[in-house]
Amino acid sequence: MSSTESAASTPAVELNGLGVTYGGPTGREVLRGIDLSVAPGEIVCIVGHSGIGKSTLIRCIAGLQKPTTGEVRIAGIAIDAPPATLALVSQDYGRTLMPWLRVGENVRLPLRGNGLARKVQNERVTEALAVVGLEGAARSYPWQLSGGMQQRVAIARALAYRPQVLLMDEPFASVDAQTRAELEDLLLTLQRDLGITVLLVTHDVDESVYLSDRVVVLGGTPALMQDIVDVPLIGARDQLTTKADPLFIECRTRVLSAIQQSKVVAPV
Amino acid sequence: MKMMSGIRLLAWELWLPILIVVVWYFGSASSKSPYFPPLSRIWKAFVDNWFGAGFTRDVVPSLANLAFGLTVALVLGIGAGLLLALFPLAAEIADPFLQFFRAIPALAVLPALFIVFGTGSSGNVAAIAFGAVWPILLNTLDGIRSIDPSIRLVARSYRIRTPLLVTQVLLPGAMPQITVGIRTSLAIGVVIMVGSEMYVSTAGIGHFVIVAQQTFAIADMWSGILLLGIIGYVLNVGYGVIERWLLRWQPRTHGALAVKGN
Amino acid sequence: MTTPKTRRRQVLLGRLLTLFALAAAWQVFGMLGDENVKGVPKFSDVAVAFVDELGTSSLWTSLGQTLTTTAIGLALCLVIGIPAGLLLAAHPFLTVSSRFVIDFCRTVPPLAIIPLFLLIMGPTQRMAVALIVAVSVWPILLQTIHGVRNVDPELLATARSFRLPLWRRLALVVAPASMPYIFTGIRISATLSLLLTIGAELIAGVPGLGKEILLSQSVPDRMFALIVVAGVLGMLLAFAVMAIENRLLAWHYIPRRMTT
Repeated sequence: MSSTESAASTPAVELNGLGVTYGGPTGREVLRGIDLSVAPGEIVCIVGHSGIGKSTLIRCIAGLQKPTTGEVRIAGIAIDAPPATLALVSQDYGRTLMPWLRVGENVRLPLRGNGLARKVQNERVTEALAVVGLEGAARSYPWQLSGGMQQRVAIARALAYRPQVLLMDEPFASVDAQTRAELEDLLLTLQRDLGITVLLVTHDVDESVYLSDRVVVLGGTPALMQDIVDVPLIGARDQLTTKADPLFIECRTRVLSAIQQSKVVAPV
Repeated sequence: MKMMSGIRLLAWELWLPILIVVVWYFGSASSKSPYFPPLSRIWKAFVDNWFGAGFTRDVVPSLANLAFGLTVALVLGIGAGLLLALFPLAAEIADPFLQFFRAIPALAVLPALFIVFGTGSSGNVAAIAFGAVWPILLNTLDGIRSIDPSIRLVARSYRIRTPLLVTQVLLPGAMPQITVGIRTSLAIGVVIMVGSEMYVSTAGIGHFVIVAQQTFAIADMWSGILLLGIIGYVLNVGYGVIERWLLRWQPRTHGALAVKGN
Repeated sequence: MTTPKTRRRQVLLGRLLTLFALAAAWQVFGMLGDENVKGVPKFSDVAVAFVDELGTSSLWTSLGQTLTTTAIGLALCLVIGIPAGLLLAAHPFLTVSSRFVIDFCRTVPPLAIIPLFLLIMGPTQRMAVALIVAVSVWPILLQTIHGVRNVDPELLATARSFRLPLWRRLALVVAPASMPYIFTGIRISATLSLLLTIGAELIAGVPGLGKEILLSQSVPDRMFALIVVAGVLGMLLAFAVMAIENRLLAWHYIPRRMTT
């Protein structure tokens, strides 16, 4: 379970003994002893019940929250603030897009003030919007778009930022099933084309196996790593055939039983 | 309410005011009361005073003071509100003081301000600024505080730096609340403008009205009152236009969002 | 990371320091005053005068006058404004017809009509009350109309489906639902009423705290002390309104403190 750093490549994301406790030493322990090593270009999904601390974990990895114990390393460097090579897409797209900026301006915002020429910024914006399938939407306001489209804007914003690591906190939980399927495939395409490392939190077991190279199961109170399931599905995945593949079902079962087990085992 | 054609709506809104003016005009035509002269005489005084020399003598100084005072209040109010929002500890410390200053009846402070700033226009401007700054400040602070925390979290995750954060996130996000504060400040500013001129001054519409009252130039007094009423109304309407422009990004429709196809 | 207890101590310390700094700055300003700015009394002098004033009966008399004027005026505004608002909100015809008149009267600078009222009624408390009513009734009126028209139609439909008679619908649905709006109007009117009372006292010489301030212009110590009293009065009034509102509207979740 722990990382073994190979001499050839530094892990894109590394968690060492990460723990979070709220309210001082006698407070509520939410996460304990999380060790994880994510290789560059990997997609890792983190699953667990709602409220277990997945969002807390993501916030620590994103540098938005300081863990009580342990550390987070991005590309080998320990972080204590949001690093420049990381972008976060969260569940509430409606609440993270600025309503007073047009879509194009929303996507451009993180690029400003970083020394990039205005022309370059605009190019990246156009490119990102095209990639997520929203070519003509730059002049619209977020409220004029549907939920799925707004989430695509949030993704485009992350992409334009050109991160090395993409963090996603239940990004598809608030859209309907059809849109979710489309966005999942979009993510796979993007990852394949751009080679970004993706860490995605979800409560949907099917989604976690469908998307990832490995699935990390969190469970218990305080949340510990119950299991890491390898998903050795090779080749391009698609909604119809992959989900009928026996290997898919096997991984899915393993993830599910790990989650079930975490409910049975009493907390330490 | 069903949508009506523009003309019908206008007529519906205006029939009562027009009726009132007409009734007033003819009702007072033969009035002998010293306090309520015929509207025709008031109108004559109105034209004489305000379309003539009175404009530069009184209207311009009054409105100039108002403009200066409100500008000072705007700059100080938004600036201080912003700073306090960025430093929550300072905001918490300052809270009781802000509440105290906000609650002082602005007119009570007039005498003190005039001692400090003198009885010329600077006194008027200071008084207007003092009264108008608190609603703006408190509303800016409140407005920034009530921006959805998710937005600020995202801004932090993208490492958006403070100057850009202020201009692109904090101020626009707080703008709906700030405009409410500005509207209140506008009203207070006008009250103080008139009040300070009535209390002590050598020029200005308020001064004109009180002098007219003291010299029993009743028609002139009424003409001043009417002018103030019109100015108040025009400023309000004008500000409504500005407010709509400032908040132009807000969805026009209530309830269901207008959605383009998926 | 600071614990709540540390934070509280920091805040308290900060407030004490600020208070001290303000008083010190005032004191210095007052001492310079003799050369640069004539007439600004020292903080120490004002503090002494303040304490002195509290012992005089004239202060309490004038306070009482100001308070009664404000209270009577505000009460009249409620008695006139709320029923009138309910009436005007009842039918769109009435609402739209009256919109312009209400808007116009609302924006007339309140003090503009002091000279007129002064002429007719002289510098009396009665005049101040009339002034308050003429000016502060509009916010209450407007907010009542606003509140009534904003009652959730679903609520009313439900009430009608239970065949509640009109007066019950008014009392049990419309009135409570529009209370938050009405209270905003009351808050605005209360502040306005106090402002007008003091304004009338200061400018027209109506008996009360403002008149005392006017009379003590030549005694800066006393004048400043009285102004501080006025500030405290304003604060107390604001607190009182807020306390009543929180009590009556405990059921209504007010997400943030609304600043007027």
